Amino acid sequence: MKYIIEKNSFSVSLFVYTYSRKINLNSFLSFFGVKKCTYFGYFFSRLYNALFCRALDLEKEYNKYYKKEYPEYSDYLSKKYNLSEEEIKDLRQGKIFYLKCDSSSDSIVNTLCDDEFFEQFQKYMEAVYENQD
Amino acid sequence: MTILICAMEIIKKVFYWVNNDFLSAVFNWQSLVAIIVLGFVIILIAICTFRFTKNTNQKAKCLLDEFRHNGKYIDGLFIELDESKELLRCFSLGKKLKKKIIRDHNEYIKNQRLTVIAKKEKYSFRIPRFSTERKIMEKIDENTQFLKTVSNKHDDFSFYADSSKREYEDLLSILRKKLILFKAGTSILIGNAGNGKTTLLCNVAQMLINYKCPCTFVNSRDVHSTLKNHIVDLFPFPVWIKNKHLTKAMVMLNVLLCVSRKYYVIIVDAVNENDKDVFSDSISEFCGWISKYKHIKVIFSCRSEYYRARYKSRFKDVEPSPIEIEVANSFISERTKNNVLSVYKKYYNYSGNISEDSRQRLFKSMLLMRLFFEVNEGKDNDTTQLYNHLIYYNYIQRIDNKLTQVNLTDILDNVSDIMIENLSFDSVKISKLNTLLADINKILDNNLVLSKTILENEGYIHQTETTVISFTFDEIRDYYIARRLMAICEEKQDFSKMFDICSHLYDNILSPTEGVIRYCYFHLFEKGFYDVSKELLKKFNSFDQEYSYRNSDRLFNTTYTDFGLSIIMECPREREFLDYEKKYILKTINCRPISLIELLYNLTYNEVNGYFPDVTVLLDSLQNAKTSIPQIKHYLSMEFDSAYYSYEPNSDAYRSYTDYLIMNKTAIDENTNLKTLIILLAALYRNGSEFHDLIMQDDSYSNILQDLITRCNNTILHQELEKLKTEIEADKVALHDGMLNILDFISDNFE
Repeated sequence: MKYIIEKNSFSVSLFVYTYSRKINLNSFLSFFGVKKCTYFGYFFSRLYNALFCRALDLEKEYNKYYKKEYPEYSDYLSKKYNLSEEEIKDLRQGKIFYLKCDSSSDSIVNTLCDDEFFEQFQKYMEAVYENQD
Repeated sequence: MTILICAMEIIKKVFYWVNNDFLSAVFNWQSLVAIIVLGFVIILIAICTFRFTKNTNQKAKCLLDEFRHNGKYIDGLFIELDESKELLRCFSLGKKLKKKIIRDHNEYIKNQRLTVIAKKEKYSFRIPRFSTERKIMEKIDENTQFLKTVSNKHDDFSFYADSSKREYEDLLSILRKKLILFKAGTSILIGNAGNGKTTLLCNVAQMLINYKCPCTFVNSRDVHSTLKNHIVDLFPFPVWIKNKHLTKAMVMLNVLLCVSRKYYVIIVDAVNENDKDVFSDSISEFCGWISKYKHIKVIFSCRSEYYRARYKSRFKDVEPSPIEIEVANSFISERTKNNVLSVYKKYYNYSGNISEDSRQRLFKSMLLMRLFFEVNEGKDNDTTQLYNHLIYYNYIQRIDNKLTQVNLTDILDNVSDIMIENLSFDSVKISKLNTLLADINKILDNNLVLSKTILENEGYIHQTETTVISFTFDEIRDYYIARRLMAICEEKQDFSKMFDICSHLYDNILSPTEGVIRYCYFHLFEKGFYDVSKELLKKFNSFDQEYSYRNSDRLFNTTYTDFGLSIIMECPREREFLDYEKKYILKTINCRPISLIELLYNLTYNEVNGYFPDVTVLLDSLQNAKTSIPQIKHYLSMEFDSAYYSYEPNSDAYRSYTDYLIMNKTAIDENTNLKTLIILLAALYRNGSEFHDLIMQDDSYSNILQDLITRCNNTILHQELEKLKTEIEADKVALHDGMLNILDFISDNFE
């Protein structure tokens, strides 16, 4: 399982290369040990939303809307989503999930998305995919 | 049981009816004829649509091939820089993207904080999946209204969800625009010169061809009659239909397109490049005619300044009003920039590295990017500093070699001569040129340097328009004027003309001042006229560059506040600075101490990356310059203070610099003087708080201090360094104070 996290002071962009239905709010909250209807549960829901709610299944989108325009899937990824050649190579394996979130307007998300969180987040993603296998 | 029996009875009756009544009804001869006629009509519709699409697309393909051949459109270089392509997709493919829009909206709103509020109010933002466009628009309006109501109703709304509301409202406005584009009959693509309008339109045409949607692509320059007549001529209808039954044919075409759920898109590129009144006057009539047919759409492209000055009024009467789409007007992300560069590198087979500074300059204009890669095709040299004038020079040479009948250099010489003679540098009337109009048009077709513009003279009684030739970019103009001046002066071996023109520009703060002086200096230096270059620097060094930036579309963005210093440091040269230049650097540091910080910042960066000029230049200039030390101390202290309290985004470069110094001990050899130490510490300290962590984690930084201590012959400095090392080891915050102590020492001992 591979993914990239681009983070700067304005936004967080997440590209997840492999799709899993096990990514959901409940598994996210339980991994971080947060109860759903609590104060922190509310913050983590916002964080989850910021990271995952605008997710796209790229392959599905390509087949449905862009296949005629870009005969090659790699062209579509490169020209529409500006993925590098290496990233495209990785993406070629399995189903693809692409996430791009802009958390600039949500200060809580910006605060919570620090390096420590991303370390834990990586573990969460790995756990999800290990369970899937 | 009764239900089952009933169901069985119904099935029996249906079978009976199908076997007897229905089949006997269908298979009589009248019905058979009707079915055959219907089938024939369907086949006829399919054939007609196919033939029409094939014929129109064939012509569009021809023009695309021509553009490809001229190098105006290169498939491989197209990248979606912003939303403009998606908007054009919505315009030309229409309802095919409706479901995508609904899904994007619903996905977005699914988990937003606004949804929580909406749930409390028993409201849903969701747009039903199979909504019609009208329903979607109504829902968008309803959602906007709900947001307004709810924000007024809840006092704590601004704290709770104001940012989400703004974000969602932006999304709704984009959705609204896309929906309007679905229905719109006319859209206008607007953008500055060289930012990719034609490329985008070519790509849209190619997309329509791939989708098997009929498309006509027209270059405005090829239109010699009214737009309607020209387009009708291109229709693949027999002449008698075009002459006598055009309206009927158009209605039929519209019906065919409606049945096949496609749009016929007519693309008219660069309307500003056709100055014929017969063409410009016919635009609104053409739009009016096309708007009668819902499945026929038109896309125009036009340069921003032309659109505002001349064409906007022509589209005023068009109903429904055309939709404006701006190209490459928004922020380009770092990921996109990386992708664009790698695509260009691959296409032009350029394998060199491009420095960060050069990269930033290239992204100021896609045109400069194109020129740069065209000039560097197949090369592998690294681009450390981007010398724009060399790019222009090489590009002009390339074009001249390509053109056989006309000479670009002659026309450029002619244009700049007239500008110098009239002391008017914006544009030259096309009638004043000594070249045939046909030749000028040939040149305009094949180059990216000169362009035609419309000049409007607003009078009290009437308004006049003049067609003029101007340089695409101010900077290319500055370069060429400087080049002409130099040619004239060198021929006569008398540089008074150059000084006169520069004085005129300088005194009146005209827009070419900075560029012309800069390029004159570069040229004089290159040719070895050092006395003249010295005089030029002496006379015009205090120009206010800020003024110039505000008033032009200049591409270079110097990193030095002092104009003279920026000329010296950016002048292309071998590894040598002349004495008068070193003196100038020293003088500038004394008069304007912030220059030292700029020099430190840029030269250490160059040192790290192995570029020239590097720190040696500064050290050479500072030799025996005792008077500069107090300023160095003062401004470095200030700089250290600000670095200490602020985030330094370029810390990586400085970290690399310290690594470089550690790796190359030669930089701190026996000849190391205090000035080198200052530079080293300054470079280290530019890391700000990050350096504290580094110094605590990595022994090599302690080692470098230890190395300095061992080599230091001066007792007091030795003690200071020892103290610094101990304090750093004990408490990382002490670094700041320790640095200032050392600077105090340097200041006291070198004054």
